[in-house]
Amino acid sequence: MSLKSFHRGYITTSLLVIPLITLVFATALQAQTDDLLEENSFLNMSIAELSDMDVSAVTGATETWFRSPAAVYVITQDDIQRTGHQNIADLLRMVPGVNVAQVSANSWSVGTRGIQGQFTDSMLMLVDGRSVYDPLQYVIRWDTQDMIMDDIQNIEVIRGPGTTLWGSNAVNGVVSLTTKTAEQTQGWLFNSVFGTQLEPIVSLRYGDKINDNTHFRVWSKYANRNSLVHEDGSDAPDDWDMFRAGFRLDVDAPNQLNWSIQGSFFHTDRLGGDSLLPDPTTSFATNYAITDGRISNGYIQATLSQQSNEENKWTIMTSYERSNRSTHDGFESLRDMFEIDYRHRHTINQDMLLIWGGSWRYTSDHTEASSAVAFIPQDKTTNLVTGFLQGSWQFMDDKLALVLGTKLEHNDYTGFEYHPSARLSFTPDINNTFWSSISRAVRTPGRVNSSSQITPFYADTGLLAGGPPSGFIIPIQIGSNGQELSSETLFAYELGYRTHLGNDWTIDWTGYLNRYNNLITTSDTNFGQLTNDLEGEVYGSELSVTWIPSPTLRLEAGYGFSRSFMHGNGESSYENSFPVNQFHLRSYLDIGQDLELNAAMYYVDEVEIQDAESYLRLDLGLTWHVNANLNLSLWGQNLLDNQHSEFFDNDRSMEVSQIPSSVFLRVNMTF
Amino acid sequence: MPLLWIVLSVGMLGQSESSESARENKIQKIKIAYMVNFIRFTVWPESHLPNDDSTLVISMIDNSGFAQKIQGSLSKAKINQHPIQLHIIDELKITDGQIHEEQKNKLLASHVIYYRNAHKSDIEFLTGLQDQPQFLLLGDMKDFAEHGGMIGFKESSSKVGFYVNINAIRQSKIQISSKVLRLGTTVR
Repeated sequence: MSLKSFHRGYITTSLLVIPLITLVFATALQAQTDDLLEENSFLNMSIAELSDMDVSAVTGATETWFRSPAAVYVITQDDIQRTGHQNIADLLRMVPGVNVAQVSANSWSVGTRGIQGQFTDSMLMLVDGRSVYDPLQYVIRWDTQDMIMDDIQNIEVIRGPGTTLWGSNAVNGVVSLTTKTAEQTQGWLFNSVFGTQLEPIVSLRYGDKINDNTHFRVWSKYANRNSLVHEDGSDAPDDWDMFRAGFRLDVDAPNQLNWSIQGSFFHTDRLGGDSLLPDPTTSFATNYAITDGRISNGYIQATLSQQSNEENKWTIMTSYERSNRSTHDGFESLRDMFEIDYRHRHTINQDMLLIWGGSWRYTSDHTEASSAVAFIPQDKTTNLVTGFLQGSWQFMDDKLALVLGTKLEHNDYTGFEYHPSARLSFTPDINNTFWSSISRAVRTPGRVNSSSQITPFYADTGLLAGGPPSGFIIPIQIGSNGQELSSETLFAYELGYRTHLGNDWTIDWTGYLNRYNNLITTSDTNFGQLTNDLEGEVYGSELSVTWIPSPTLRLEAGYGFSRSFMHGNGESSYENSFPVNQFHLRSYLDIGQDLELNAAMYYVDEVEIQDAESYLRLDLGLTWHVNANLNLSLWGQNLLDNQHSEFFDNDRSMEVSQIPSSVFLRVNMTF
Repeated sequence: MPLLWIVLSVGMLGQSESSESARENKIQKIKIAYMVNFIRFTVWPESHLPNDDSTLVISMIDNSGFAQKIQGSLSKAKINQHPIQLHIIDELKITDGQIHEEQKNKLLASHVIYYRNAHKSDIEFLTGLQDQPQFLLLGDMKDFAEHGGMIGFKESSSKVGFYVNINAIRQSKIQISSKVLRLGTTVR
């Protein structure tokens, strides 16, 4: 039996046996239920969970993180303030099993569940319910995901498929960022961060109310971020800045009707970077170029929701976005996107709930080719129509819950797709939850896979044939070349267990096995041809442990383990693209009423194919609450080494950008 | 749109009650759960709560019958190792601008005062009990925190949140973790 066969057999057997064991164990635990806690099932919830509790659903307390049958991690505003990260991608470092690798000063690769490419292409991100997944490049662009950090309510991260409700591309995870309501951001806020890597970030926000039911805020932010460094200590050419401004208006109308309008605009013409451009006159030659990219982007979004009666609640969200982007290699795109999304929650009876909805997304783009990248056709309009239905049933006095659902969608690349999932949770008492799931998820090829032609270099036809130079030079291209690509499919199996041990400890464990088919890769035999000829398995485990020994100290540890086995064309670019082991430890300490000492340590294994060595990162921060309206924070980041690399994109850059140690001071004033 | 609301969804099912009273019951349970969390993340001066196992006194000013309902279960509970003692005060007795001596002594011995349905004028009496209060002052009234209370619950159509008055907390002798303060809405 090969090692791979052994692993597959072992995991499959475990997936069958563990649920039985957990069911028996859980039944035994029922006897330990505490009478008091049974009376009030909210008592073990955190403040963040209580804030999220929907009281309009008069039927129970189970829509909580603790009982959810999925691998969910919630980053709160307190976590944001206490970890010192100044961009959204870096915040995800605290999520067990998520790997954040900074590629350059303005580019991050975020991966989970064992697969990670140069960009974040198998996770979906939503901001207040609006998808920010780039429909042209099929990635999350982390350089454009920014806002005033104080205005984030929380970030919920689901590891594993979320396609049943959110559709294609939420294959390995969903990041859902919720901003604060306008009512929560009243008055003035001035925030400035300046240091060796931040020079500076300045944010200004004003919020007020028009009447008791109508609140608004307007805000702006300018961020000027320094470059990373090369191995010899010299500056990498990736410094950048960005200005953005936005607004939000919230209205609580009569009859439990709420509506909200928000919008934002951002711009930069200094998105530093380098690239290796093909030389059309010389075989296999590239020219190194340092150029600034440019982005202009704006969106407006309206959301309307109503709890029309005790059984029904609906939400309709619509948005329009225009984005204009010019990359380092000269490729330009102009994109318009309109989306409308409807969701309805209908309580059938005390044991059954239906959630259903549908959406339509219209995307139109125009592209201008560079010498390295072209989209054919140059202009394209696409439509994506989706519908979903999910039912939830509860049994055994709400201790056992079953969730079944599927999404159906029609896209312009592969036609109809479906994303079914089944989830089961067992909560014998409020201190223990066991859950498992089986999902089928799909990542569609999209515009970038079906239309793009990448030219890494030109070559003499004579040399290509193994003879003398002919003098006739042709482009060597990577793309689908007119061949239709299928969707990548995933069958995901998950198991999870959560427990509260006393009041002080919370443990959250997840194990998973992912089976991928039809992964898109470049052919080993036909150079440059994209194919679906890769498949493989990934298995792993994620663990989060929280200990709150006193009101003034909170410790949290996270661990992620992942192994991948790929078979077929281009397996080397997928297999081992993710660190096998990751670990982090965070400490939040209050010292008296005015001081906080916060620390975080992160360990990440090496990832050979990305030239990323293992690293240990230490961040330390001291915050002084000078008075109710002013606090100052001093932070040191990456304090254990002078610099380290996390990801090297050697197809595009000559030298790896490394993350240096840094310090910064943060001033936060409200009035 | 929080994912937990809709995605992970096992939820929203459960109890059979489907009336306004069920909603009200749920809201009150959530408020009690908030209160337990606030207590978990609050430090009182040693002179007021000297030992790890000292009794923590909650005074609840309430004439709705709610306090009686939870008295039994709260009195059995321990929070951060502290046994809980619940005092119920039907209403504040105020004569000549002064809280009755017996009530005043009870309130000053408290670590938490939870005033349900407070009147604005009553908040001033409570905040005036001590120059630097040694108790956590919670309330339900709209604008409770704006009128000097430390933490005031707020109810919207679908959520129960809370306002925090940072100035009132800083002027007290108690220390509340910023974990609590950052998750509430600050009032000025």
